[in-house]
Amino acid sequence: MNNFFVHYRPLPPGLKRFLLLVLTVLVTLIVVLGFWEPSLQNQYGPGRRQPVKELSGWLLDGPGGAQLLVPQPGQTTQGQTFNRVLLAGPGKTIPPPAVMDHVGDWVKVRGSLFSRGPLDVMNTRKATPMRPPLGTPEANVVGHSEGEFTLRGEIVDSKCFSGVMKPGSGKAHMGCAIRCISGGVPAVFHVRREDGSALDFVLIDDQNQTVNERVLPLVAQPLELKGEVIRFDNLLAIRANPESYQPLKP
Amino acid sequence: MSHQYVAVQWTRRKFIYDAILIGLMALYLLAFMQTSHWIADLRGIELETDGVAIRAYGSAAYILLHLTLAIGPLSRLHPWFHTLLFNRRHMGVMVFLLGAIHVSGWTLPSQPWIWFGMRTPKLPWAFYGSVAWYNNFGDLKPLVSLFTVNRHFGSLALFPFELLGVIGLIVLFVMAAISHDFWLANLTAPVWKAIHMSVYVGYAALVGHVLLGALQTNRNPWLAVLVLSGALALLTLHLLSGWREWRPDRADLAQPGQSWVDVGALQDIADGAAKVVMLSGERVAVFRRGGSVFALSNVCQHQNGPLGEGRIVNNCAVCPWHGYEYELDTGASPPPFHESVPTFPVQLREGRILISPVPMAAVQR
Ligand code: FES
Repeated sequence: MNNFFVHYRPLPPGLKRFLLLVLTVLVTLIVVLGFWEPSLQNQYGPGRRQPVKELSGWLLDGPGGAQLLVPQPGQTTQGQTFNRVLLAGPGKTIPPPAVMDHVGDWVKVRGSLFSRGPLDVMNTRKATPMRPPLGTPEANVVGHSEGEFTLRGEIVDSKCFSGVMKPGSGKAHMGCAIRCISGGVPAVFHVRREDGSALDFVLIDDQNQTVNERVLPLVAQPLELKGEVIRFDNLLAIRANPESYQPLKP
Repeated sequence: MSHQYVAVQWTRRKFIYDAILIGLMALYLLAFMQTSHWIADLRGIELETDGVAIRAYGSAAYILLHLTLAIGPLSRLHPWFHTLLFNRRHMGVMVFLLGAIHVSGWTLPSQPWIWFGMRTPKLPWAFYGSVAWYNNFGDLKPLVSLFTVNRHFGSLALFPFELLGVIGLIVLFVMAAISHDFWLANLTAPVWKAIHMSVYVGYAALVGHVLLGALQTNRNPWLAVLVLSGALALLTLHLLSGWREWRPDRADLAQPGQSWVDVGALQDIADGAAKVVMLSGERVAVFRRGGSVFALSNVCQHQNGPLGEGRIVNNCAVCPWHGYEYELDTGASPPPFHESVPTFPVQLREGRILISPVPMAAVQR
């Protein structure tokens, strides 16, 4: 009868020690995994959510999507008169008509700001048109060409990537990125350079139009793009036709 | 055959079992989330808590699934592991719940309020699950998005790993939904067991889900090592225990047409215990009580547990899995229970045990 266990009868003595051993092993396993696994999971990213802010600037639709051109305080450096903040609506959408109806105006917008490196994205629901302050510079809509480049990287949605989600890129984020880009959130080409630094380019076609609907099957996978890099203030854009994007072996 | 239905036949030990189970999982979730915060603080970066919770619950379900699946073969290899087997179904249900929270978040408890158009009370731990967090708030309904957003079916590296997770969760749901003895009795043990074998389909799908999802992006070699060693450990345990089962099954003692088969000496069986022999393709449990022997089908009527690995308690053969009892001479469970197993005619001649391979009809009470 030794060590025969049935749950409605008393526990045989030898088994108690065995069970304590099993329990110790389990607790150790769970604790080790619980503390170790987070460091293995890709759940970190340098993006930041800033407190709700109010910004004023020129509201433009493009390049690559809606954006607010906020004059740089103090001296303006060469070629960068404004800080360009990409705009998105609530969720995975473009800003609502209460914002987009004022394209071309000087407006005030309020919302949460997400920042990752030079990339700023704001969630907005409403833009209030105002008279532009005296001496406000005109927006440069043509941009400044930096030349032809071949870039390797991945298409991400600017909003998740800039801090709404972590890491906001990669295959696991593909579905979400496609939803965002399909909803009109500006699509960005994320390029990691060999020295570990990164550059992000807003995607535009050769007519300077957004490419969102045309790049959905290519989101979150390794790609090679050849095109003209154009600087719009702090924002880099790459002008290339989506048909010319080359998928690379993952 | 019939069962008396009660919600769950609780015993003190089942409460202890479940308390330890829930405690361990809570410990894991806490450790995972807290460590994530520490790492973020250390690196001076912010954390996005929904994503952390999604990963914590997903990995908890995955780990617990391994523990659950390991108990079967372990208790084949050593009877002491039966102590983990008897309440294993609760582990399975827990795996499903963790998986469901991974998918739906703690928005699940808010559904009843939403159905009645009421304001959801704010849960302190509320977070969006993976389906909502990655597919909601867009231009498609979340479920439509989930099933249509990624169409790279031809590429292993880009395959929609989410769909493998859906398959895994459906299997876990079916297991959990029919886990109660009500279903066991009505579907009959063989059918119920057969359905439960699909847990391996679910497991395979979930290995694919983790390998293709987390690992495709997250090329951390240690994560790959963990996932693969989990699968390897389970496979080894199953092969080992399968081999142990298969060996005696090959040694069928009965010759065709033989009416009495010598299955060994009485002394070879410990008093109060049994040995299992193969007769005409059927496993028979041969129990010894003092100088007497009894032969019963080895297949317990509850969940087809190995009766011959049980013991004699109060003149009954007791199944080691959940403690169902069968009278030694009739094979019938003592009243008020109604289960019974077939018995076999036995003779003792000069210390040798002879068994007729033709079973007697099970006694119905
Ligand atoms: S299988 Fe459950 S008691 Fe025998």
